[in-house]
Amino acid sequence: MTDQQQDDRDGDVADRGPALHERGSDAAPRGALRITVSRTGGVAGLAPHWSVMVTEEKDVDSWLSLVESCPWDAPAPGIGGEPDRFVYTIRVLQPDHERDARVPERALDGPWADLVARVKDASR
Amino acid sequence: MAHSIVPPYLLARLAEADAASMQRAASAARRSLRSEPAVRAERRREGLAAPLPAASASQNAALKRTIADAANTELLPGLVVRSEGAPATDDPAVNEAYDGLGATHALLLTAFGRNSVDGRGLPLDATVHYGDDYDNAFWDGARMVFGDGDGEVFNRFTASLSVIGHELAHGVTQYTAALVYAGQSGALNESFSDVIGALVEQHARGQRANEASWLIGEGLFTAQVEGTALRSMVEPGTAYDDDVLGRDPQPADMAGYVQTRDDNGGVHLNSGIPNRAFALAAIELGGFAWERAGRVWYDAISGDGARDEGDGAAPPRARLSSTATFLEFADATVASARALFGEGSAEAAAIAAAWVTVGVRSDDRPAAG
Ligand SMILES: [Zn+2]
Repeated sequence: MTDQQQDDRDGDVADRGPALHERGSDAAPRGALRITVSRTGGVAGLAPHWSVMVTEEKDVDSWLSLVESCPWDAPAPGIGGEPDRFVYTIRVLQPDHERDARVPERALDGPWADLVARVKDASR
Repeated sequence: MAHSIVPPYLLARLAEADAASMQRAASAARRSLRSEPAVRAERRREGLAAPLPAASASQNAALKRTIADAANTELLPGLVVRSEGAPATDDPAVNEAYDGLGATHALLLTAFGRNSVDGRGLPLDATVHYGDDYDNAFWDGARMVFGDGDGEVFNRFTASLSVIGHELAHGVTQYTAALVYAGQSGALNESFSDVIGALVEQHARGQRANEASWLIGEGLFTAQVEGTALRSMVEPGTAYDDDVLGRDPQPADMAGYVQTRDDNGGVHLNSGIPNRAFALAAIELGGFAWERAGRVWYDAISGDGARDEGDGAAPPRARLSSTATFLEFADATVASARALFGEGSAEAAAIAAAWVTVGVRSDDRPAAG
């Protein structure tokens, strides 16, 4: 197994979840960029996550252009998901800016799909 | 209401059902299954084989399975590779899906008198080899979809009969209680799929409640994972403990209920609580789990009992809400058990006690129903 299969459930289950993680020491340094992707749902109910930290300026620019092309302002999915489908939580942390989105598997296309695939690749 | 040795549901069913034609349809469906071990007839409890809902007795209960191959893309439905009645192929995923759909259809029909997922003979469609190393299986509202797994954590998802039953049961729920897939109703939706998944496996193997593993997804993990299955219904939280995956996080009772925004509110976690209530009640009752606890759960979800207004066998009951809480569902199962098996029945007592054990009902709660 590889690191990308790392599950984030070894702590207190009730406290897990991207919104409660990745702060403090995990925050991106000045001029850098940190992107995390966590996946929940699925019949197995596992919650793997992937992350990438980017510090080189040209890499930051390249990642940011992909990040900016994602539809961050799209309306959030309503209450009640689809059985056993994955839901991706994508977070982008910059020193002065942070955003996150929940993207159901069915909506993971275009730039969202590219971004998730790129984060997965980079965290291998 | 007067107590009776013969459960009221039996009287009602016997009065209205053409049990003989139902049985013929059921055994025809069983014969058509290539690899399903027959449930040994002598083990069936006399009197419990007949009381099936009459609704499907007159309908054509023939199986109509179609398996397609997505060839490792995410394009549905994919190319049809095996249709009903066609011989086995050399692709195990195709044959496992085909046989698993048959086994699930057989359970629904023989145990609950339900003609397929929608109760009206819906053809059963599945797609295998979905996606690239795809670690999942799902019901998309119309068909079942199976990934091959990544080979490191997961094997192919058709390898587990309980998972096939689980996915088809999402279709049953969609056509019946339509439980909203979030929070407690979402965990109930998940749990009912696990219940049916376990029952499909037990039914196909001819296993009694005390002989069953009560595992969901046994054999899906590769040998590299320290774990036996995705979930344990009888001991939630014990299915795996792996250095990479972590420990099975399912709670076994309400004290461990998980509040989270992930997974639609932890639907695959908190399902452990109603799962355990079912397994405990089924083991306490003994015999084949689909005959007693299973019938009760199916009745509570399907609302079949609630539709029996006017047959005089039982007072009409409220339909289960699509946003039911654990407590509302627990009360619905106790009401179903009383209607199906009698007010003071062992079934009603065992089910009520199981809900107390998992902390959903309290001991001193006045009897509902
Ligand atoms: Zn499910």
